[in-house]
Amino acid sequence: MNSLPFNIDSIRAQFPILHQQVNGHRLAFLDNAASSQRPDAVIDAVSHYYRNDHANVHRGVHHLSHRATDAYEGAREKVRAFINARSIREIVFTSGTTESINLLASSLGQTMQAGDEVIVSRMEHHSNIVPWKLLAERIGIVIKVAPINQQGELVLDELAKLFSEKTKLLAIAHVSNALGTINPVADIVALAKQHDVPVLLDGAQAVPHSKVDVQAIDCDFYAFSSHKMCGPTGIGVLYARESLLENMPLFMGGGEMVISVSFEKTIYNDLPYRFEAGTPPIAQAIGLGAAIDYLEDIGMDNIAAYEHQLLELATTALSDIDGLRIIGTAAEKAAVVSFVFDDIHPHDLGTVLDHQGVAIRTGHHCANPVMDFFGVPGTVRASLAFYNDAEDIEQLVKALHVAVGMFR
Amino acid sequence: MQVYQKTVLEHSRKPHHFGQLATATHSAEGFNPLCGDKVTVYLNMSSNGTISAARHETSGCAICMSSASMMADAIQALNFETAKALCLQVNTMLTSDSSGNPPGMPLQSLEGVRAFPSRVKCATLPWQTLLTAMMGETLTTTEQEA
Ligand SMILES: Cc1ncc(COP(=O)(O)O)c(C=O)c1O
Repeated sequence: MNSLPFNIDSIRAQFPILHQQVNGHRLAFLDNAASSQRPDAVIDAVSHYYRNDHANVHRGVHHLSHRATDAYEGAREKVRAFINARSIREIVFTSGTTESINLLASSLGQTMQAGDEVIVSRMEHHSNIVPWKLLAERIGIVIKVAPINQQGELVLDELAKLFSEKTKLLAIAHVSNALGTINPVADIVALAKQHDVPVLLDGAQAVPHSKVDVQAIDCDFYAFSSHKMCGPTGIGVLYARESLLENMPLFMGGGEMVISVSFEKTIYNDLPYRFEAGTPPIAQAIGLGAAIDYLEDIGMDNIAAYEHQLLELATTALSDIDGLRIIGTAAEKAAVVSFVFDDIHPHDLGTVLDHQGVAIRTGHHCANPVMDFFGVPGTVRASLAFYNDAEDIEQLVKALHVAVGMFR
Repeated sequence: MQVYQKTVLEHSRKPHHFGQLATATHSAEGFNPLCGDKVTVYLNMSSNGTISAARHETSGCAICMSSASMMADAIQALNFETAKALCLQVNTMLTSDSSGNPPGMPLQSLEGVRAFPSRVKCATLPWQTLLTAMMGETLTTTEQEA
């Protein structure tokens, strides 16, 4: 590889989970798109919080409640700065990308009627399909699907034709989890703006791997998950443009989201708290804040550059294997390589690879429409992170040769 | 690896009794929605309950394919009760630690699957589909009990 933007060995040393044997082999963890691993900094921040600072937030006059509240709100500010939102009023904590999208669908759904249209793409994760399908079933909205080409790229000309007077939202992945395709989101948003249609970007696979600036992209909504970016599970973010969020119908009701409640009259809290009912995932938010500090310390541009080198290395090495076909060959790709063999089933490969310490994902990757498009039951997917190294890729290739030898 | 024994691999590469059975009296489709495996079992059952012919069309992994292939071999000419007993025997072998009455070779070569919990359903799907067909029903999935 070319000169590395950081010392990979010292990065790897910060991830305790990587240093173990699986089935008698060195662990090569190549399933980062499903969920990433955590560095000491995140594990320690969560543990420190539970050992020293925990209390419920926004409620107590006592000292610990203040500390917990400061740490929780501090994490919100870190998220804001990380994606360059204008204000913390635009940062809603959710349980993850899935809840972020469901929040939006449930809220916007209250303003939609039968015949209204939502545009998605063929490459969406199920979490950006099913919430809209539910609205279709409940109130009769119509889902329009933007096609992809054989490389797994969005066909922009066809997308452009889908807008109509009835389009209420364009909801699309920033980066595809099944194919690795990076969509030209700024262009897509500009296109939607011509039609006055707000845009939701599913950033679950984008935020962990490159600098995301919601103002530069100019999207209206942006959803992502902490657990895919070295943070804890159970927390995610919905970024929402303040001018839209202000007028959106509420999602869940409960404590935290209200200022005063009587049976005659309820006064709802300010943004973003109005959309966060109940005790929030406090430790998870603090862990997410620590993950952001950690990633920014390394530098998102360094991470993107390094992962791109890994992607090229993996793509070249895998292409050399007889009969291996890569699914998803977009010009702009994140470090995800999905592939199939015509004569070996993905699950058999997955089992043989696991036996050699290589953790990869097999199956449909929660993207059935993508699998149908390429006419495969599923793929094997190696998804890389900045703490992977060339040895991980060598181990994958070696394990694949063993599998091929076994099944042919 | 125990699970991919020679017999298993041979059956998966060249499955026996593969294809439709135009004269089938009973047939059922079985799906594993989690991985997309699909097995269709075709039976010719005479009025006294004997399986006079059995075929399958399977699209799935090596374990599913070889399980279906060995199953089709094993059930030719069995009567209803014996075939049903065999289904239970295989199911016990694949899913329980207590060693029941083993089904004999080559079916026993599938035993290694038990060490791979995420793959057990690949092996049981053909048998579940067979039971479904024998009961005169047409559809089953691994997410429901047979
Ligand atoms: C593109 C994409 N969108 C949405 C999700 C759902 O994320 P979560 O399960 O964290 O809610 C995922 C995760 O697999 C994803 O890859």
